[in-house]
Amino acid sequence: MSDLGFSFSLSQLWQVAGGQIILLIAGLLLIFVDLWLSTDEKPDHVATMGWLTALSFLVALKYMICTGRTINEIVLVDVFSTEKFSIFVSAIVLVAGIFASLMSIGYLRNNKLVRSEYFILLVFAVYGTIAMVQSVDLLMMFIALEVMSMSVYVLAAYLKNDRKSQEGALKYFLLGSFGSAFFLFGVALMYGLTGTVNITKIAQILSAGPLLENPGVLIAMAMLMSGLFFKMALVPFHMWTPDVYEGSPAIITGFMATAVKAGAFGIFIKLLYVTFTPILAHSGQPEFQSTVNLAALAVYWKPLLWWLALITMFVGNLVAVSQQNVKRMLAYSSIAHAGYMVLGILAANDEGRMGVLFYLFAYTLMNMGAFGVLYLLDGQEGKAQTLDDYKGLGFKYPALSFLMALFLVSMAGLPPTAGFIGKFYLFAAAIKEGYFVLAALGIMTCVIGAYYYLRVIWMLYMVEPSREVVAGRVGVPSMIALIAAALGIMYLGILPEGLAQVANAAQQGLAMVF
Amino acid sequence: MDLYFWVFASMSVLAGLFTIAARDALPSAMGLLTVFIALAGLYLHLHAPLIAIFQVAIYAGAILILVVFVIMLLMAPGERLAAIQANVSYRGAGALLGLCLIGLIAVGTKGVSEIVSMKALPEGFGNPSMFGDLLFRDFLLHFEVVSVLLLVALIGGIYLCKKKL
Repeated sequence: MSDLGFSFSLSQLWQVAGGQIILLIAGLLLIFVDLWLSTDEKPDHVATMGWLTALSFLVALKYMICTGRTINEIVLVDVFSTEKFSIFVSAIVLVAGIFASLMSIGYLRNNKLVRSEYFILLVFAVYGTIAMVQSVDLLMMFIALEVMSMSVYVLAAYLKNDRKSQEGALKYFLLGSFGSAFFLFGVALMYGLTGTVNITKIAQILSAGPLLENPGVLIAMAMLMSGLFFKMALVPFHMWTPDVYEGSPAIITGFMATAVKAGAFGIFIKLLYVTFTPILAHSGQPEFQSTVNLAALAVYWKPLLWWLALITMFVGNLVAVSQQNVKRMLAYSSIAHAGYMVLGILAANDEGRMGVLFYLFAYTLMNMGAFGVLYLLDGQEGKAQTLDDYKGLGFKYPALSFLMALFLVSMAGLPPTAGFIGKFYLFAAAIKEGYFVLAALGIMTCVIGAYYYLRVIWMLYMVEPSREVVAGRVGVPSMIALIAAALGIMYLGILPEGLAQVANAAQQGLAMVF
Repeated sequence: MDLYFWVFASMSVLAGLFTIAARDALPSAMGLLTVFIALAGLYLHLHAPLIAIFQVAIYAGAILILVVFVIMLLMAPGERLAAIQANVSYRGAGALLGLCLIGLIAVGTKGVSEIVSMKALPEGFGNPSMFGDLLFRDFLLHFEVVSVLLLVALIGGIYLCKKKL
């Protein structure tokens, strides 16, 4: 009892959680860099911090993608895993982080917010998201979820003199804590029933015996899932989304809608499939053969996701139609996009999971891009966000308007953009599993969605301007990020096979989490 | 007849009643303190000394001090709770919530007693040193990540609360 030998070596830790360690070191170093730079000219200071943040994300991304691993090195003491699925979702989060840090340089300058705690919190938010996605342990998931949420709560309130930002952040904090409490309650129940917090062991214990019939397991499952639904912002767990997305700094809104959502979807897929479906039986390991019994649980979660997908798509798209503020409209549209992705999870086949991963990546590019243009047209937060302000901007700011139009066309799901391919994969997967009615209704909501996306483009190009709008200065970092996002969307729209194959390999890695 | 249990259980219930019935805020807070300490006694009886220590240190120590500070800052000297206590709708809502809570606890206890049968405790159960052992071996990584969580909360707290940075 008293020997304190560690059950893992430092090289193992580096092998599995290296990306996290890089981000942690970067976060701690940035605190000191911030102190050291504080004598400099303020705007340069922010630019340096932004570039360093982007660089550290890039290093972590390079490390996570390019390190070869053998099958025995995937899991670290039942807490963290580095199978391809986690790496893919982490890569999405890191890409969103790179976009956010590059655009934030211009954002902070335009809004005269020259405090660089922003970037430190951004690094820790990305760190928390990646730690959450990599964990295979319910308790670690919860702690990492809190690291992520805590950083994002503060970032949402970053505009200290703006009432909307403060109000949104407080709502986010209260409802987010409420959601986390559900998750924690689910963890406690699961631990009480099975005696372990590791998700593969839970799957083994549940499939082995009488617990499968126990109502306690269903309650625990419902609580774990509803805790994550809050973060994924599915209807009816979406109440916080519009206010928070409207009030937060534009780049942080983009970050929340992409990185935080990707993290939540990633951990939801991992938790749902590994713990409550027979996916581990595909690994061919004899000790997981019994998990085929878990297929019995599908009668409980499938109808739930069916209805959630339906109402999420409908409410998100219908309410977005009546919005006058473009930022708020994008908030509702992000709810609708979450609905499309639930379709892929519901399909529960290879194509569905691949589709969700592909869509998350494409959505990250188009959403970060859209919020990037939005902040630039805005000039200063909240100055020009309504549809009226967008009237006739196509001639005054042709490049920005063209990019906005491209990102919105991609969100509407029109070819030849990544948004079309992503929706195609998701709906194809649902139809393959026989969800014809849901797929048909979903496609109908896409058409509703196309109306409000194309309305913005109509405003940009075909209406006379009603008032003078002065866009902010477009800096080099924002330009790089926007062009990269636009090229990515076009590339994925024309040649999607490369990413689709990677996503398919990633979702197969889900069976290897042990 | 378990004398130890009955002494502390009745103490906590009576102190709880006193807490909600007291006409002044400060004695009410002291009633709450008694509830916390009586509960700590019950935890000791359940072979959970560490929880008892936490109960005294965190609840009776830190949280109650916070409550007393709030009373100090928000209530004028001599102000009494009587006006608030006389409000019928508050009382009605409180009674309703209380009944719901009792119902929930009853259902929960029944469920737990069905799931968990009486078991003999393993050797050294609830021993503080065993907690430490778990924390620094099986849950070492969790422990470390919690420190990151606290760091993030610290940075965020300083940014949000300080007027002039």
